[in-house]
Amino acid sequence: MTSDGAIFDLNYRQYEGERSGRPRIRWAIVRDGVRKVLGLRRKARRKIIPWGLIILAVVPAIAIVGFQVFTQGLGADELLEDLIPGHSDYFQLTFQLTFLFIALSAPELLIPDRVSNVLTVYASRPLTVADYLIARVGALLLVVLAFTLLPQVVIYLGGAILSGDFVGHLTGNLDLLWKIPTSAFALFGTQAGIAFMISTFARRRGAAAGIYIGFSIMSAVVATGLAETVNRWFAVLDLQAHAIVLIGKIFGDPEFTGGNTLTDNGISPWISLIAVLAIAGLAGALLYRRYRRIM
Amino acid sequence: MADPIISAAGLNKAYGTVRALQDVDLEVPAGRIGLVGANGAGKSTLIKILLGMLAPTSGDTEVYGTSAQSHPLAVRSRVGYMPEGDCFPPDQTAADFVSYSAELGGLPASESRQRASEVLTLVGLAEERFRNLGEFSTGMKQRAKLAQAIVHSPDLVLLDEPASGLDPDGREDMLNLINRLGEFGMSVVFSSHVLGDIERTCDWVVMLNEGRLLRNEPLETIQASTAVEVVLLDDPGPAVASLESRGARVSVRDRTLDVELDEGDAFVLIRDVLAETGVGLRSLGAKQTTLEDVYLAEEEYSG
Repeated sequence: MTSDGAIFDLNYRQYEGERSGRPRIRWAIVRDGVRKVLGLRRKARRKIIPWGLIILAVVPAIAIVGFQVFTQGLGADELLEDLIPGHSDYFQLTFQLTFLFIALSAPELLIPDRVSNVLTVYASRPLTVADYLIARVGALLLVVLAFTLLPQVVIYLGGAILSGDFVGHLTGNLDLLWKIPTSAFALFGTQAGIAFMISTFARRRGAAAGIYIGFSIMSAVVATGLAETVNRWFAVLDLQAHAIVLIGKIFGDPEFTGGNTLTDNGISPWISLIAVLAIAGLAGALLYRRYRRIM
Repeated sequence: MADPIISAAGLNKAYGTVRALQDVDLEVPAGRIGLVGANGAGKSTLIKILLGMLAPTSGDTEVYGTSAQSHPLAVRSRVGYMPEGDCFPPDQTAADFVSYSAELGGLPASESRQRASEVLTLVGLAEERFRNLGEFSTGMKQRAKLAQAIVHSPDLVLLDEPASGLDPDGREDMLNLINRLGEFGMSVVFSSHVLGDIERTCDWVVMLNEGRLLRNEPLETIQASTAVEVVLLDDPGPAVASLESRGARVSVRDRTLDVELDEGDAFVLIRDVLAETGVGLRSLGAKQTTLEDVYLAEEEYSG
């Protein structure tokens, strides 16, 4: 028999533990962004497009390594070396996939929060507008880096395993460790900057993706036309071409930029670097200005 | 008053030519505070200024002694907010969103999941917590909004029209929940234009009209009245004349009189006057002042 009884209401208790600072809160927003982009904790149909694109980006890399395994020992190494895509070639393969991935992901990160008024919840928490935007951009950067790096890592490690000298292959190609991420950053800086700018104003995700794709295609068409007919400097309006030029420069691969509006018009890669930085800077400023008003 | 949890000094907010708040000075103690006013009175604006979400045109506000304008993040770390409108991603489950809201409030991820579950149980959404928020009814959304506002264990919760759009049962449940928040050590600012809801839940009232502060005091002070309400069966004319000749202040609505006397017992005076004039009495009692009476009187006075 007990002398005293007590009833505890387990429904609610005050939290008395430690609270995280803003870096942890930012990280929570990054994780939420990654889940949004990849459709995690969402219905199955939300996973189809992102995971479909990821599979499309990675499967050829696996196939390349498999093909190398299959052809190993056939005595046609030199011939095959020309046939099998290297790292810069693979960027060319995944360039359009990355473009599509960003076109669909950037709107996903910004538009639902704004249209469904979730920004009110963010605005009532101990974080700033910059925290929110940095975390959202960071989420896309993380996923795009994974998207572009994963197949490159498959090729890199596959090559190392097949070389028969694993460590030697890795150490002999150390330059790839900076070339691949830097190229991915260049890709991200150009493509995501514009996609985020459009998503800042569009109210529907599909419309934002469509506008972005249309805008990119039009910029290439207009730039080519004006560069040919008016002045070669109009080539700088081909926004997608800047990333290609930079990736070609990073890998020292002139073939990569063959047929590129900028290269054809003799525009220096430095101009492309400035353009990429300008797009990223402009996007950052525009996003911050717009969100300061609405958050 | 004990240390105020909210204070405002010379607070003004204008949207172009529209003045949403005008020279508001107030100090509010801990507890359940009703923020009363018609639509457009400035309630939501005041709440957003307290959160540092809006900058005032002039003046300053403090929450727990911290300026909401200079240190909004410090204020927000102690405050929860339930906005009037929807604030949900429709494709996320209630459990995921409330857990995420807890993380945004500074709780560790592992703790957030547990607390989201507890808080959703508290607001009556235990069964529905794994459903997408887009599938929720208005009542469920209001509960989920309350859950996100309290999940990170704030000291103060700002509730902007929490009972709006609810059916009678839903309203009853919401008011009960708001009453319970005080038991958990939270102070509550409850904004509403339904005065009866404020009377049922709050112990302090801040009354606004067209951006001006009308009243800022305990509910019981507002409701206190020395008037006696008399309902007569016959023409009240002779009784009114007699009461006024003996120094009583009388207001008349049909056959109902509100009688106030500065000195002496109003009940005794009324008994004597009715006996003298022979006017029939239907009922007699202390007047119950409602917030609505006070609001209408203040509105008439200020308007």
